[in-house]
Amino acid sequence: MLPENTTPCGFPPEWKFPLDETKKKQSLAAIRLEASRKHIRHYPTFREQLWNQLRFRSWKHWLLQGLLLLAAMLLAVALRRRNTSGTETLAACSVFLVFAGNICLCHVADLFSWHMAELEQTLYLNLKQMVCIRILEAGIADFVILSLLLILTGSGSPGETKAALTYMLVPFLWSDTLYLHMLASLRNIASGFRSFALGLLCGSLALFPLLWESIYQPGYLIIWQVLAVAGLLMCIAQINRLLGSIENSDTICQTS
Amino acid sequence: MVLEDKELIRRIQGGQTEYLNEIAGKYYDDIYYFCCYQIGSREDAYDLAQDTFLRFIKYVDHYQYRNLKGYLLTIAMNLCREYLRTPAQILSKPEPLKYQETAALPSEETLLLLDALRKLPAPQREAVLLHHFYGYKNREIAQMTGATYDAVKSRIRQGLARLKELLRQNDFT
Repeated sequence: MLPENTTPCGFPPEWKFPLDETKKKQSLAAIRLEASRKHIRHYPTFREQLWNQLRFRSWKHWLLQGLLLLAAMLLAVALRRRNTSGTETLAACSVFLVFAGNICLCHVADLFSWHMAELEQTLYLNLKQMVCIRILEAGIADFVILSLLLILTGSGSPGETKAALTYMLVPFLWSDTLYLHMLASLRNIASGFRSFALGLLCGSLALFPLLWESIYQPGYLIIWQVLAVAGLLMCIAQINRLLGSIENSDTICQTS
Repeated sequence: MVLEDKELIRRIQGGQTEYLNEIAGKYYDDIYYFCCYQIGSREDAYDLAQDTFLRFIKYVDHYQYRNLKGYLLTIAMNLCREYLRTPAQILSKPEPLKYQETAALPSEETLLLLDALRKLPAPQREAVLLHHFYGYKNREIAQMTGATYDAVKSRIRQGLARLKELLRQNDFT
């Protein structure tokens, strides 16, 4: 720091000349008045916003997610102990991951219930911001579940883990795409029915590759990779569409 | 008890707005001198210093603490730029400085410095003031002014050379 009244270049030692105390007092009085009128509005940090949205999850939601994860882990361990083929373990894990993804997205879908759009007007977060936060939370939860399933199913070699990741990601990404598409298109259907029907549909589709066991052979990995990239792009497009419909003030909440 | 800036901001953002006065008291002089040397008017600098704190109060809810004095100087710098852009200031040419008789007069050397600084282009004056009078590094000035590091370096070098030249012409010791 500079010593008082000096500058590094040898400018006048008294560059800080005496102030007009009357004017300074008047200035400070005006500042004091403005400070007394000031009402501080609290703006939560990003971490607080994530936490705040998590609090709105019902205990049923947490229980369902926890039970599903536990069941997936137990099944994966049991299948490995019985020396079941890797294909079946992968298919089972894919189905569980799809269910987990749908449960996580239910939390996003809750935002589109009746009068939610009107309610959000009274809050400091708008609907678009809440959707983004909840999708991010769903992504984090899915990532944790996916990591756990990979640890349980993986053989340890990086190549096989990478392949297992691709096999599990494809049904997951496409089911999430389907869920988001249905969420935007069939918004007037009761959310419970929608989630249940979509869960069953996506779970069944995730089991579909079992009909052709050879599809899990390394030769077909490139097809899986293409499908994974396409699924990712479609998923991003659906999120974009959902956010766009909020932005353009489309009728997105249930009307009855 | 003197509170650290970070603690002051934490308390203000927690609703204790009375600490805004503490910040104003602590940094008023620094902001005033900056405005005064930047615009070359001892009278208008009081208004600009006041406006700096009023603007700070307006946006304090969003402020994320890093360097409070630097933040206040940045507000002051923007206000000074707005002031210098006003038509009355653009048309006016640097004239000998006038002071109210009630205020204590600065020394002759200070007046010479004030006058010489007024003759520098505004970006050079900002850079020289922040670097040589307030001790900020080139990188920090670049962040505050929105200029590149190289531009700041060049402004300081050219501004200082010009300032020394102007002061030499006036037999500045």
